[in-house]
Amino acid sequence: MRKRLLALYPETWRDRYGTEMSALLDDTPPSVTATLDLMRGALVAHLRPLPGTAPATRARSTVAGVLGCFIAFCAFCAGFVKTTEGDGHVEHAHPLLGVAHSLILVAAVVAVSALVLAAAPLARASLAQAHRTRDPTLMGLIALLPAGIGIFAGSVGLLTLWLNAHHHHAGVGGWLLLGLCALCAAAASLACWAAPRAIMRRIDIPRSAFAVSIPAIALVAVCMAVIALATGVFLTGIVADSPSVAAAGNGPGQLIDVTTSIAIQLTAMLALSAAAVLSAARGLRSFGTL
Amino acid sequence: MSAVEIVVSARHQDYYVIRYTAMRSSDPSLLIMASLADGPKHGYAMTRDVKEMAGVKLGPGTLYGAIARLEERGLIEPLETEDRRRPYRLTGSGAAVLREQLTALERVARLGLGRLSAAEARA
Repeated sequence: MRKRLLALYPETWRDRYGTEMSALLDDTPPSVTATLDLMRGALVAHLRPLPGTAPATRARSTVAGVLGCFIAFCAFCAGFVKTTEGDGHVEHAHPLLGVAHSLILVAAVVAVSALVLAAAPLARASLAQAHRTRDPTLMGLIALLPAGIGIFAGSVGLLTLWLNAHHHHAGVGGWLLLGLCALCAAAASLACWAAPRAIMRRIDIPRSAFAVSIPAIALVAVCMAVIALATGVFLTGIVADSPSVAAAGNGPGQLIDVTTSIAIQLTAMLALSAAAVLSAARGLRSFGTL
Repeated sequence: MSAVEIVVSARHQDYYVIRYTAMRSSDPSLLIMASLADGPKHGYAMTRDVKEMAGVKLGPGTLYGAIARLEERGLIEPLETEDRRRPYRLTGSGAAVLREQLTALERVARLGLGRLSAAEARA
């Protein structure tokens, strides 16, 4: 299990230190602190790449890094949407709340469009290589993406059908389905990050593909930062102008209030968008030397 | 800021003396260099040695993060891999930097202990 976490490290890092780190993990007993330390080390390794990394590898790492941050960011965005659903009226409490909400929506649409734009040339290159070489591993990796998304969409569809059939009373079956949905979402997220990363390692990516993908993925990172900042404005506005909404219970069992929920989401969004912007900036720099 | 500069500023401000000592004595890079001072070691041997020497348990991510930084700065260098385990050794500049840092720490510790003793004698 712990050795699988080495996959979180950048490609160049694994090439250089992977074997000896794996040997070290074999020599030491497993512990929660060591596992967390390994995950923290992976994050630092992404933020601070090894010197002498080839520009093409840096460009690939940038795409994979921003994609990973974006997927995790989406989870917190989904949390934000869930937290603020049904609070549409608060947008009229202060003009800033409405502006922040609109900005989040616009930035989300631009981010998704830019992600599709970034993925298009890479998808084209990988499909062309799979068609040409008939490499079964590459074809399997390509199939993993729609399979992951399909399973997630299927589980959400099942949950929706269940809730509709039971007049929105979840019951035990509904909670089980919700758990299944969460598992499928985690699996799909992992597939959507790991598969493109592995595909990019296996294919020859032309410079023209990076010429589109790197600026587009940088735009995704910028949109993430905009969404995080707008969420911060939204939180400030909701605390200042709608104290009753801010203090309302939220989350499973209403254990925390809306302010705490959004503050947690905001912290994660800021951290992830900062990591994405750093990664994108590195990719843009390396693109000049490709 | 070099170790010498820190010692100079430490003479003027006790707060920085304490902060610097606390920070540097658990710095993974310093601990790794100190561990390699008596000869080459691989990752596991370093973690075991650091645990015995300083009571600090270095996690795998922290250890290799520090090894990468030290290698990047030319303070340690890798040797031939032995059964998936790669030993590292201090370079000449690594030994010089380690000596400088340990000397600075020693002066800080001596200064702090001296002041403590003086304060206890006065009390």
